[in-house]
Amino acid sequence: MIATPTAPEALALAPRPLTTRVGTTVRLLFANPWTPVFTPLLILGIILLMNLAIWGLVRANIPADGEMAEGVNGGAFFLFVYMLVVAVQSINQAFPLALGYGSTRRDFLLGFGVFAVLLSVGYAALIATAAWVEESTGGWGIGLQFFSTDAIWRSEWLEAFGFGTLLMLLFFGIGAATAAVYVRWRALGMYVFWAGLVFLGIGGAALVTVLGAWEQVGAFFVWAGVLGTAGWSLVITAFCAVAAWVILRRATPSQG
Amino acid sequence: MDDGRPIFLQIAELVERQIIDGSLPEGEQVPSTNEFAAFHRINPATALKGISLLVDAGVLYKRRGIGMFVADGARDRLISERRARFTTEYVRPLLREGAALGLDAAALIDLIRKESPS
Amino acid sequence: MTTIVEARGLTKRYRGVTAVDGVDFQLARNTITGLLGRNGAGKTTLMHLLTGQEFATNGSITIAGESPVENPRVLQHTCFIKESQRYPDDFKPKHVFAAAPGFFPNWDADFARELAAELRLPVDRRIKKLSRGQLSSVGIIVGLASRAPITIFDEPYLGLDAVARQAFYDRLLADYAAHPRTIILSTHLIDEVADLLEHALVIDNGRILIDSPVDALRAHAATLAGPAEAVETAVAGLEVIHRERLGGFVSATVAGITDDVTRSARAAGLEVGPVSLQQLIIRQTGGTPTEHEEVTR
Repeated sequence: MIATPTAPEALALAPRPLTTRVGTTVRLLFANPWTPVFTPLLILGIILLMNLAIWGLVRANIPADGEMAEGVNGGAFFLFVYMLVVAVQSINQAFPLALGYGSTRRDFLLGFGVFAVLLSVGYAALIATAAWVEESTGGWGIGLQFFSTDAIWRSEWLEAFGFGTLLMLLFFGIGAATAAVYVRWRALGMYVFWAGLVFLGIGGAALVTVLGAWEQVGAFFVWAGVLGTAGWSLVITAFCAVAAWVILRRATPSQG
Repeated sequence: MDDGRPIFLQIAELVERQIIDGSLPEGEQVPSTNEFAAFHRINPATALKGISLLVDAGVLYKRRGIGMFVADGARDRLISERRARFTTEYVRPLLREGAALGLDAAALIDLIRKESPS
Repeated sequence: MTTIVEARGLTKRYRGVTAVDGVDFQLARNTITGLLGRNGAGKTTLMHLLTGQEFATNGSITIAGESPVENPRVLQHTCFIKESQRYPDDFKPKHVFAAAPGFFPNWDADFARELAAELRLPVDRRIKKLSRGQLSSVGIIVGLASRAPITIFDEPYLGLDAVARQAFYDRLLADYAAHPRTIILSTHLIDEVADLLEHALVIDNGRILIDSPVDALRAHAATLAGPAEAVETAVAGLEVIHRERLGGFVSATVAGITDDVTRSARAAGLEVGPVSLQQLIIRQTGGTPTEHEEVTR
């Protein structure tokens, strides 16, 4: 045949809108919704049910007028550590894939940021709401403290929600920065990174001790309050985000 | 397909052979370059090159938007071209090989007679 | 012919190793180019440079005149299928195919499904549990169904059997014919792909050894075999790429051959045989006999 199919005239060099490109990353990170959403919710549900069953059983065997202990249990807080792992895996495994599929490092990281914010907001809302229900129902009717372990969770819903969001973003930030170090410098980077972190921690503590400033440190936390402290964590989160960006900007997944 | 020569030449020759043996009659549409490419598992550009060779030689002609057809008189022209090359491509090598084996022209003619049907 | 990819003095050096060494070449748009060469020749580095995943030490490589590094304008048109592509641990092939349309505006989901059926890929099995060949199938499906204007396959079929590879070649040709695009195929199975290629780029030790239409390569190389004296006379003045000797018999692979040479060689009673692209490349990248001795020593 003579009529060879007509090819597009030239490459369309107008980039697709930033939102589309970033959305592509978000879609990739949510491609298997089990990992970031369903699995953690399922685990959370199972732990909660088990706690309710066990605590209900304990309660049933105590005489109604007997000494009552509160069932305090921080079972919900595995979510934070879980999300740190999700962050590490996303950067470590989805990043090289996205680059191969024509994403830029920048678009990937922005997409990861959106992913982290969506999950943080969602889970914080869930925990804050559950804590509120728990408070209002007297610990699901049996005095169980599964979500409302600390005063902050028992305060206003909005405060609990804000605190939860900030805390989870911090975990995402730390996970992202750690994974970025790994993607760029592999095992060696990890050694240096953790050694540096330990050094900083011990060094910081030593410095505070030498200066005899523990009181001031304590005073800071008292002054800032729980929510204030969480607010200050935003500085660390932002630092982690910038670090992840600076590190990944020159990362070459090919080396892996 | 492979006899070491460029594939587009082999494609062109294949079509020529089909025109000569009548399986592609004059006026008939020939397969598209993409069909050639898919059938012979070759690059479409290579197939196009082979077909273009035949268009340039007037063996095939294009009908815009429809396809490629065998030109009138293509068969006769191809046969006379082939006949012209027959001497160099078949007779001379035959004589050379025959001489190497001690068969002169008369002996070769005898052999040919014997092998010819009827 | 429109140039789509252009490299100029492109160099990539890793600590003491020069993976790509001052390379210049151009690729024409909507052609299938074979990027050929031995392992470690610099093929993968070159493809990483082309897709902006590696940073050039010197020189430049451009797509449609623009650097690909962090450039969504050109990167959105690329799809790079890597030999050892890793996927997120929790992914199944269906998750890869679900995420792909975002990256590739021309993604054809039906085509992807068809290919998965043809290659018998279990789309609902964890990628970690897939065999090497099935893993390769995932890449092949993405590469074909993406219909990316610049599609790069780096040894895409590790672990695939001959039947599956043939299915890949057939699909590649048919889809390329229907949707022309620029395809770069890096492979060491040269004989299998030789006929699919329009252009060959052979790289060795980080340098371009051959940059030529495949047709021209085939037309200009041949093996002349016969008595040593006759062969040497016939090849006098020609570039002999390779020479093998068995007693008084010599077989010489020659480049830059013409019809006249062929004719006179035949007249001299020599055997003139074809040289496959693979043989040609092995001859050219195999090193000189002295180097060979060094290697085997």
